[in-house]
Amino acid sequence: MLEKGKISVRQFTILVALYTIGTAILIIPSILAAKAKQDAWISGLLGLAIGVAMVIFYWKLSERFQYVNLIEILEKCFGKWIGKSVGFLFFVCYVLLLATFVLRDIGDFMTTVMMVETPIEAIHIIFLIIVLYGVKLGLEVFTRTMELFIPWIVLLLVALFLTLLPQIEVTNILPVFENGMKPIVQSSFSFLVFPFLEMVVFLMIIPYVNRPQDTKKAFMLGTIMGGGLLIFISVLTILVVGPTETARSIYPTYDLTKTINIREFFQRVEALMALIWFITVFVKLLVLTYVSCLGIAQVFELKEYRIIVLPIGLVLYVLSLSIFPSISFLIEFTPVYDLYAFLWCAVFPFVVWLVSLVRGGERNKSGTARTESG
Amino acid sequence: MKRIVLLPLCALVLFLAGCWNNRELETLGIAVAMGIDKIDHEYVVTVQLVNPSAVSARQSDTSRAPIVTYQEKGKTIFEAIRRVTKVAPRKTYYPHLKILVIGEELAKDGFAEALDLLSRDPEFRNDFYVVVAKDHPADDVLNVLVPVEKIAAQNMFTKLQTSADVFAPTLALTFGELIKDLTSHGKHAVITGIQLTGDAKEGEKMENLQTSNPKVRLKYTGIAVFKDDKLKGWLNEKESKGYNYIVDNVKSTIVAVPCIDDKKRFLSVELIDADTKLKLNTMKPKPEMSVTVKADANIAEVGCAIDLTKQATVDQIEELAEKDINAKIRSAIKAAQDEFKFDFLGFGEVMHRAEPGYWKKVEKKWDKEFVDITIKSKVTVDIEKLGKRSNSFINEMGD
Repeated sequence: MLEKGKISVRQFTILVALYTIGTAILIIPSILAAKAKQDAWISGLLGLAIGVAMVIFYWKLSERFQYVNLIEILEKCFGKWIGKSVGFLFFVCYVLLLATFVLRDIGDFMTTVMMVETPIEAIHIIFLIIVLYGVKLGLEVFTRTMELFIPWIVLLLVALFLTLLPQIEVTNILPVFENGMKPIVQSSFSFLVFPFLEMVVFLMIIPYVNRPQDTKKAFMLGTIMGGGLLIFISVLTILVVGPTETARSIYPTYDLTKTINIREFFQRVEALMALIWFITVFVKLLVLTYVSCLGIAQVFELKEYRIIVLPIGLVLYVLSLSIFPSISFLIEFTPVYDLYAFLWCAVFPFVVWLVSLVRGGERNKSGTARTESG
Repeated sequence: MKRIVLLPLCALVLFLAGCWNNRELETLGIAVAMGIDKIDHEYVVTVQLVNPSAVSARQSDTSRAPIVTYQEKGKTIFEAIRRVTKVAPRKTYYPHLKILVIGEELAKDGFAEALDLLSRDPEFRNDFYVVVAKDHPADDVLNVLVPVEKIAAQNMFTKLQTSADVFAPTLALTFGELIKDLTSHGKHAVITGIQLTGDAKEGEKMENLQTSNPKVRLKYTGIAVFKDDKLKGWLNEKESKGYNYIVDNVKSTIVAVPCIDDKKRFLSVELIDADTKLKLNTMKPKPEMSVTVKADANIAEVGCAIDLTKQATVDQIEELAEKDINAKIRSAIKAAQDEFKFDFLGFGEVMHRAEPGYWKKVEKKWDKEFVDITIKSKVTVDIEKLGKRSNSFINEMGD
């Protein structure tokens, strides 16, 4: 085992919840409001419901293989060579790519609205240094750190809600079901892909929970907490800012915190509120980088995953600067990316599941048997 | 070995912390107001900066003007703003912008194109107020020196806030709300007007600050009605108040009602809380909508001998106040339906929420539909308190 640390079920829940909130908290209101407008909350609930179902599916997959990590699952399923190759592709073409997006998201956010003249490279480097340090310290250490963050996040969220209460206009979410089901379903698909399908990376972490058989409830609970919070933030944004402005905004949550103004006294606190997503983005990037390192190390049967942390970090840094040329490109590219992510997060595990059914489950010893995948 | 590496690393924290592009306070020109006009297809942007040495509390230099304005032209707003750097000594800094003044001529031509920068650029917030300069270009308004609250933008900001809060003929409209109105299909935008009394040139001089009765003043006046982004006309004070009742903007105001038996003398009813509901009553045979106002009030001033200790008197006063408010509401509705012939009152949004199916059909031609809609209005005033006297001392004075 590359990872010798163990985390508790409770820590796992926190990890899942913070990971779900991740970068989504910055942009999800505009994604939900883009098509569903004032019905964003219905899309949200629909997305969350399917998301939880997917999470249960991921867990079942893990249970079927007696909680070994994803690479081992693939090896058992497809045999050593094909399993490792597919696993390598998954970690490089999906997990690492996702980590790149997350890093770029926070960099773009900082340089668009908070520190406009600061070079994006400076922000990426500083963010990466902390993340790589966390990855190097290992799973046990960084999940404990996250436990420390929880009270702050809760405190800030409660403050956010209370200070915005006076500005809520209930008419903003009316009328309900104006445009029928189609836009609601479209928006909920985006919400499903981002962030719920991204939960697939936890197939690499479930094995390191001290009682993996108990993680089903924790996995669901974490997803519901994180997803619920995202829906809550989206609804709050729409209630305060209105559906059209929410949809037009690139960082609606930041706009939302900018409107906080209690009697000209408690105002301009957005930089403080930004702490919420600095923490969640940090967690998400940390988990993704950690999982990439662990996965790739396992593919090559390295003794230590720590030796590839720095190289992976460098790759991340370079990729994050060159991955897309402009925000417009990203917006145009997003529907394509959604489908791409759907392939890796839904179709791919499903194929693994089917193959394992055909082959009679995990009882096959890995190594010799070979089956072509569908 | 580890410690040797760690020590300089820790030391770095001290030097590397802080912002990349930090700017010290004394290098910033803090913009507090901005005016936009249009002359010959070019935008004219006027920026009002605070003159720090003239307003600082400790060593304020009263011989200098508290504000300075700079003006430049440009094909776009941003070009004009950047061109200001040629004349302004410091780089202008916009997060503290309090008020945006739109010149009347630009307002008539349509001003929406001028606003995108303000919603896109991260330096601008969306909580500053927007007003229209009536009868003057925006720069005249920004050049006036005003006493008491010496930073003119702050003066205008507070004035607008207070008058909207306690008298309600004006509308403290933030930039964010304006954008919402401009993009709504069920409500056209309205913006409060600001007017300059006296000679604009006189207002720029320090003498205006050195007298107890300044010749030139800035005064809020009525509400400008826009169709999309083009100014179509002005509401008078009565209609403006009616407008504010309808859109539920009245927090507190004074209703002067005639004494019951004596039509020449008046008493003041102070509304302390007013709540308006717009509703769609029925769709058949024709759409009918309604305005319902519920207000709590106190008697604030009595100018004649009446017996306030009797519930019947208070009931009568309530009725008179209701009539007065209702008349204002009717005048605003009349202005919308008969004079302007488009919906700036937001009934379209009510229709949108109540009958989304019907709305889909009429959305594009709502203004035509709106003109023929029956709008009922009902006002209820509850008088609860009389202040710290029961009957007025006037009652004791005899004739």
